[in-house]
Amino acid sequence: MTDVRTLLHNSAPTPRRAFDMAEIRARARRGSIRRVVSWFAGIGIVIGLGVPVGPGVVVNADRDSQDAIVTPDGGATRVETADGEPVAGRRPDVERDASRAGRVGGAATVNPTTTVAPSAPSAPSSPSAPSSPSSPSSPSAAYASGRSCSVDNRGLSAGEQRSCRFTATATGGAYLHSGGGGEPADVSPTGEVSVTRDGVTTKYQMSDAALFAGDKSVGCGQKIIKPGDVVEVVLTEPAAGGGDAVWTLGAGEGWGCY
Amino acid sequence: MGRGQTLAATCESQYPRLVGMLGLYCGDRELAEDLAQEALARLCRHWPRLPTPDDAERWVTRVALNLAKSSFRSRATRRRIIERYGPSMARSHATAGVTAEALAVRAAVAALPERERRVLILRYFADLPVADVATLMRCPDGTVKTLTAQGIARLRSAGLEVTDD
Repeated sequence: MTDVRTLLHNSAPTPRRAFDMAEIRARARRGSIRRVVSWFAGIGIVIGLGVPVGPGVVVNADRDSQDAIVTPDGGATRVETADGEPVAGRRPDVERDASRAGRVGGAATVNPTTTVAPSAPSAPSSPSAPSSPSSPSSPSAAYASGRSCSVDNRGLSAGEQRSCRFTATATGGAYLHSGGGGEPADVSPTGEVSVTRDGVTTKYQMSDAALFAGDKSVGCGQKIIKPGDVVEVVLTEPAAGGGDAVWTLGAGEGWGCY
Repeated sequence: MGRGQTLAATCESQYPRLVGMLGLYCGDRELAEDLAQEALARLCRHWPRLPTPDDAERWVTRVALNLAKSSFRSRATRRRIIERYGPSMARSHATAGVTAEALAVRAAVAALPERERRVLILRYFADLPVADVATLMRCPDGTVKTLTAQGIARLRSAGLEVTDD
């Protein structure tokens, strides 16, 4: 019998590549340049499109049922009862997205019958599109069909939110994680994944590595989403600011405990 | 010793430690070396903002694990690595200077659920106390202890003869 400490120390790999400070410094410089380029690229997208689309939101829609592209949400706050009725907060972002319809570059929400390539989100052809979640008699009609979506906190200010949503076409989970990228702050962004099934909304509150459903800690969201579920993902930057690490919250196929 | 020299010395001392820690976490030495270098590169960029050089170890540990967590998120990647370091590979790699037992341990650790793996590595490889692990993982001390017990139990069920501490 061996104790865990000895076992791990005896089994851990040792570096084969020799330590090279010059290489690390060069890598640090390359990283700094990449960050500056990314920043300017982000600014370029915002200027070019008129609204901040693109960075921070990824929607993986079904190839044959792509019917909406979701933009980052700048600050919608939504509180729901168990049946999915919004009871407080600002206008749900889907309403705001619909109001953008017709604006050049306002690639927010499109008519559910329109197919849009994910790499080229175009302006919606009709402002009629999705029904507002303020009257979610048929929530699945309001959100795009998709397998997953994710948002990250790049560019978010303290207290701001970013969201995406979809009607699931596959089983999946949810996870909030940091990809590093900078200074880890003491307070990380928080995530909330709302899953509406048969008119009942379950909310999963997520912090760095813990995901809670109601009072019961489940660690992470494994297979909490089934086909037909209406899923909304909201990432909130902490009020005190979350440092410069990049955090990503995703839900749907490919996300979950691992 | 100047601050620049301290940075180089810190990086040099942290490099093998990070490779070991990340190697256990990922089960892949090459990936671990790459992630360790990336974490140290970020430490270089962040160095002027560190309150004291003593904070470097904790900072770079956290960044390194976050990098590993992110790169290891794909279940497909994980499966690939477990297959690569699984029992059959343990036998075939025994001649490469790594014992079959070490490879079996790496495979068992790599197969643990992420949080259990992270807790065990932070507690027993990085030698952090429970309170520090809890701070890094942003969870209560009790959760760290529970995950530790679960992780050890899982290592035992994988056939490793291991005591608690």
